[in-house]
Amino acid sequence: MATTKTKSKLKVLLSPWAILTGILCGVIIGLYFPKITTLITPWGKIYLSLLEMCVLPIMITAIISSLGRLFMAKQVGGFMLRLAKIFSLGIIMASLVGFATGLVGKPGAGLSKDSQIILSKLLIKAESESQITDVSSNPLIAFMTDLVPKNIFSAMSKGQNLPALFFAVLFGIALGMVRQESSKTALSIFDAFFNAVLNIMGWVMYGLPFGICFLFAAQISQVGLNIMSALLRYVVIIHIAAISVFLINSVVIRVSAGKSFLQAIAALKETLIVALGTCSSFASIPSALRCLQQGFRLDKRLVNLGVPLGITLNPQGMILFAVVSTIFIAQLYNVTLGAQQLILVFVGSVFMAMAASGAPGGAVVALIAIILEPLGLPVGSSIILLIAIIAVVDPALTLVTVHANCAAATVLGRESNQPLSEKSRIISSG
Amino acid sequence: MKLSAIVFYRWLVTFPFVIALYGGTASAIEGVSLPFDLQKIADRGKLTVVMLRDEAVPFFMNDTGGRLFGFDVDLANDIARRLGVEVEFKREAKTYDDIVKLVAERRGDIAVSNLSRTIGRAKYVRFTEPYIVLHQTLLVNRLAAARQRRGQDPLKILNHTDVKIGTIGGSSYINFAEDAFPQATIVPYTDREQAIQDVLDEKIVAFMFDNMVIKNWHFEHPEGGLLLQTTVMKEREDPISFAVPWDSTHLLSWLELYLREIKKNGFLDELVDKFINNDQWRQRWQPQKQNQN
Repeated sequence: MATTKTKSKLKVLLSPWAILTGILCGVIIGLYFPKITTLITPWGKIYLSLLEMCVLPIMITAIISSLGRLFMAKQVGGFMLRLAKIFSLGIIMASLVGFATGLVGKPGAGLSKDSQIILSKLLIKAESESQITDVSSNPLIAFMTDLVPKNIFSAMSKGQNLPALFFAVLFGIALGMVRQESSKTALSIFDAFFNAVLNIMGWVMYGLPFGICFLFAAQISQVGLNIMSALLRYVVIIHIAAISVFLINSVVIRVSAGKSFLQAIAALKETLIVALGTCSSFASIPSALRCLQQGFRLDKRLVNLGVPLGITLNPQGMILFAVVSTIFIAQLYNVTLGAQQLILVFVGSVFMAMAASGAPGGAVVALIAIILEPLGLPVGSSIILLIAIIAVVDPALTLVTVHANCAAATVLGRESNQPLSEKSRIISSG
Repeated sequence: MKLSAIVFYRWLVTFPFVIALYGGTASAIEGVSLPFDLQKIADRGKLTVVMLRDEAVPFFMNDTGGRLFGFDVDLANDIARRLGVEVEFKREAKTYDDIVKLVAERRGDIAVSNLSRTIGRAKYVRFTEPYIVLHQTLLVNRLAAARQRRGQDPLKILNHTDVKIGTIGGSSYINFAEDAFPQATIVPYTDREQAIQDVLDEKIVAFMFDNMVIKNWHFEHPEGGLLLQTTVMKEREDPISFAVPWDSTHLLSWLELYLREIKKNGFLDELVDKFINNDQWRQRWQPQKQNQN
């Protein structure tokens, strides 16, 4: 009795009101109480670590068990084709929205003199402090080098998600090809691991109102209001683009899962909040899998495989960032982008966004060199400007990527007309 | 005590001018005649300081009342005071090379004029150790540099035959630029503003001069950093020295001693603080139009 009572009391922490209160407190503390912010920032980091702790185990077990089962059921080919279709549609949709908002909204045109002075000072300060921004000569090769781990355990111990993902995909396929009872046992073990970590994730979510408060306070205190005002137009345009993509993906969820806009948000609320608070789409994966499992009736194999892959292969938020930022920089330097260049921006954005999923923090922004260099746009200064502003737009962009892949998962899960096998039902019951 | 008194006495006899330094005034020693280069200055009663005709902030410029002031002006005044003579500024030189020419022709006693010490000029005049070391600095058009598609390092981008780099004609920077960018075409300008305007208009890719000039340009054009990138070439120095005629050997060694002195007693640091590290002097400053012709 006692335990159920405490449990129901704790349930308060999972309500949207608790989370909203957390966000509000975080915003207020971040804006007006810098001293408290420095005090609680370490706690925010600890909460972020808790979330990130679950990422690798969940991602690896989810991919291995899902891919293994799909392979055993000989459904991999069809699945991959569907995955490719959904992801490429998503990517094209996001970049079209990016182009439309960027070209119509003109984020970099008509900067006021005051804004120019603020940006100019920012550049001079940054450039006098550091040497020339080092951009690797071939970002694609760098991406491939990052993708293939030399030592999978070392990669995992360093928290490198991309090589872990790569290995998990290979391992899942390999395990699925071992046609023995023992491989089924192995898959069951991975399922058990997966569900165990999902349980941990469930406990971590009780701390969400506090964690989100700490994380928001730290995030908001970091934003330079000066820079923010100078690049207000850019920030607004990115958010308009993000909201548009969010709405389109909400329509996708409505059509595929039959949930209304508000119902979908309610079902995904934890995930969306985690994405906003952590600015890390990988850190949002465990929560996304949990929410999709609890709130939707979907084929768990496909969802568990699709979401982690989608974070890397369908990063719609990062594509928006790449497209709008490139247009912004071009307008800033009065360079008109022709049709040919726009195609270049599209291709570059896709590569950049995929490479970005493996890169940490500021390195993400540096990857925009992939697009700017062939266009003959200044790289060093653009990176400095974008690094100064990314903290402002990152929450919305992460939200878009995570939400987009939840939407993709609803399509993936629904389109599976195959009846669920016994084994996958066991996964889903966790 | 005794021993040190003897040492002091010997030192006093050997270097009469040290007295002048420590005393702050030029007290003469009875019965000892000055070396001829100093005697000439003493006879005239004034030190003729060669200085560029145009202003070079913060080294020499006019204040709102039309009076000359600046880093080099304070230095020249102090040197004259220590020598016990008046100061006279001779401002005929249109270019920095003209300053060297005037000094070499003995039409001035000393050049205190933001003058770079170079191996080429040292063939004609004698230089002291530098009293301040500036750095060769580039103002690069960001877009023009990016269009080269040769990476991020300005030093690599600019060293190509199709690249034009502007600098001030008749200054040490012609040599400095040729030395740093042997492949590039160096374009001499008389007007600095025009040169930088040409960088903005992408007629040339970069303008090269010392970090003080570039810093001053940024101060006057606070929005300029968005289009133009400043690259201070840390390893390429621009030593600023006094220059004297080749046969003013005694004045030269006196100046070396003087420099050691003002480095120790804080006067040089004071000047650096007043004119380099701070911008208060700008309130006194009345910018001058560059003389054309």
